[in-house]
Amino acid sequence: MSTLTLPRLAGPAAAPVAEPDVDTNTDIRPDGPWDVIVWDDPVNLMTYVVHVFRKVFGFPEPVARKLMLDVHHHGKALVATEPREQAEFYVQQLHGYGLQATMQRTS
Amino acid sequence: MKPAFERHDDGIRMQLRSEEVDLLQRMRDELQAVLAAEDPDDPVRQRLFPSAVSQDDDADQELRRLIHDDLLRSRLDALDALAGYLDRAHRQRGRYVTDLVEEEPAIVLGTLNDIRLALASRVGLDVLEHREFVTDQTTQTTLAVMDWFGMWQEQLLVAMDPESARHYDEGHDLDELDDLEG
Repeated sequence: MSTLTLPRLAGPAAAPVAEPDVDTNTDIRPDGPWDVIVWDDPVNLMTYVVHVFRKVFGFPEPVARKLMLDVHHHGKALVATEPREQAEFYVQQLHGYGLQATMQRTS
Repeated sequence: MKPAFERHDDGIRMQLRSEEVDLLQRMRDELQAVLAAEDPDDPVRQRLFPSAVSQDDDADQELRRLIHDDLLRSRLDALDALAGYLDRAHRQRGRYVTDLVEEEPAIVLGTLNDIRLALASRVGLDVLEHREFVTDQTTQTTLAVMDWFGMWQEQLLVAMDPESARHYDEGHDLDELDDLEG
């Protein structure tokens, strides 16, 4: 049946639009930063995805559009890097809008 | 042709023909039934409650468990709200008209999206990617409904958030967008 729940393996991941200063990865909290990834899917409209990025992250339109195109062309895009709870919050919001989003430890 | 959704006064006017109201109500009812059934093997549920954590099955299970109830509730509430908006429609020049205000357009947008996701899960990914080879009437009808509701979403977004509905080849050079990266 539908394989829509499985994130597609993608080509090169898109570079994040706003990357945190790398030095902050030396924090000594037991739980480091988490990446929030949005995965491409064949149903969500491009316009809708741009709208969702604006609503959830407050991105200006060109940034939201760039990220949407990254998802569209590369199969996935990094949309945020955050502490665990914030990342969970974003994933929940994105699922609420019907996007496929996962979080993973920042490598 | 009059759009199904357009700006009107301070809100957004939903104006549907009677067969469109029937279709939307039917799709609404079907999705509500699927969600109420809570069948974990249903591909519709799998799509509407997808993976949350990559590379860690335990964490994924835990976060999905945390997310599930609120997400289900908000989807069911939105479908109830949609029923209310359709109920309060008044007839005007051959259409059923409801003026949507405040958060109501966003709720309708979400229900349309959930319905499209559910329909897509019913036909399966292969069909979506190879729809030119589809011959059976039921599947063709499902795809047509998805396209129709997609058009409504586009109209609604133009009315709600015109910025999101701009085409990428208007105004912005893609190189200019690259400059926005850090």
